[in-house]
Amino acid sequence: MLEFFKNYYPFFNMLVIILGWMVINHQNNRREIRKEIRSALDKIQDLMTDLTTKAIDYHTNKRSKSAEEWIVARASLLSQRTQIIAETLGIDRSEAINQYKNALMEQNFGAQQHPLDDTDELLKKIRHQAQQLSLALEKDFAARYHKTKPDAV
Amino acid sequence: MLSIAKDYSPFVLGRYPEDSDYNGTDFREQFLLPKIKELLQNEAEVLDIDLNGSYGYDPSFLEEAFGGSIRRLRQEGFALALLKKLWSSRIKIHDDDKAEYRAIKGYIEDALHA
Repeated sequence: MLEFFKNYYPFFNMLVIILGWMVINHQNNRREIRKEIRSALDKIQDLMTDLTTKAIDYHTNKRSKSAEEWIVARASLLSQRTQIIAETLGIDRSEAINQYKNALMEQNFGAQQHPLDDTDELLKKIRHQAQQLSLALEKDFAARYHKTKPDAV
Repeated sequence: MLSIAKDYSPFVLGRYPEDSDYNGTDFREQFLLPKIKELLQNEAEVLDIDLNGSYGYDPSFLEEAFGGSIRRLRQEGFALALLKKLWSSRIKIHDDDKAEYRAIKGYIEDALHA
């Protein structure tokens, strides 16, 4: 047995080095992907903050077509970016995205009376849905990288 | 293939003409319904609707266009079973935004079961 190890020592040595490199490489890749997802998630959170602020501003002021166009375009961008991250994390967040988009635009921009009062239910709904989507994504991230359970939203 | 961005406008917004020049009602009446009626006359055809390439869609545009087309055809006397078959097998929606795709499917289902 000892003779066997002596004969194949260089081979085992090389095998240990390769396996060690593979483990370190895997961990590095995982860390880099985690950093990229974290960075993308932060950008999504910023976009959501901008959108929520703009939508509340829009609903509490005189109707503005340019604001409507901005909200539609940004919501579309948010939706697509969020789905890329959700798919990377292996989770579907379509429902939470749609609920947030529906709250922002309340089915039809024109159907709302302008301006809304600061205490209007719609404004609470916008903030609530933004918070729900934000929390869901953070929990998805934590579930992947900190081994907690993702929540259904 | 009916591409909303190329054949209609990449800048769509709202449910009614007072919301914008390129709204859900106008798209439905000028583009979607004529295509669906062509489809109803030709058993072999399939209609592909592409939503990619647009600036973005608001829920009101999508509901009025897709849900509204079903309501309009029902008003015109088309049988519910025929419309269900049409939307399940002969009209294909292409949208890279999965959430939006799901929302459209929901508007169609709601209109078919209303």
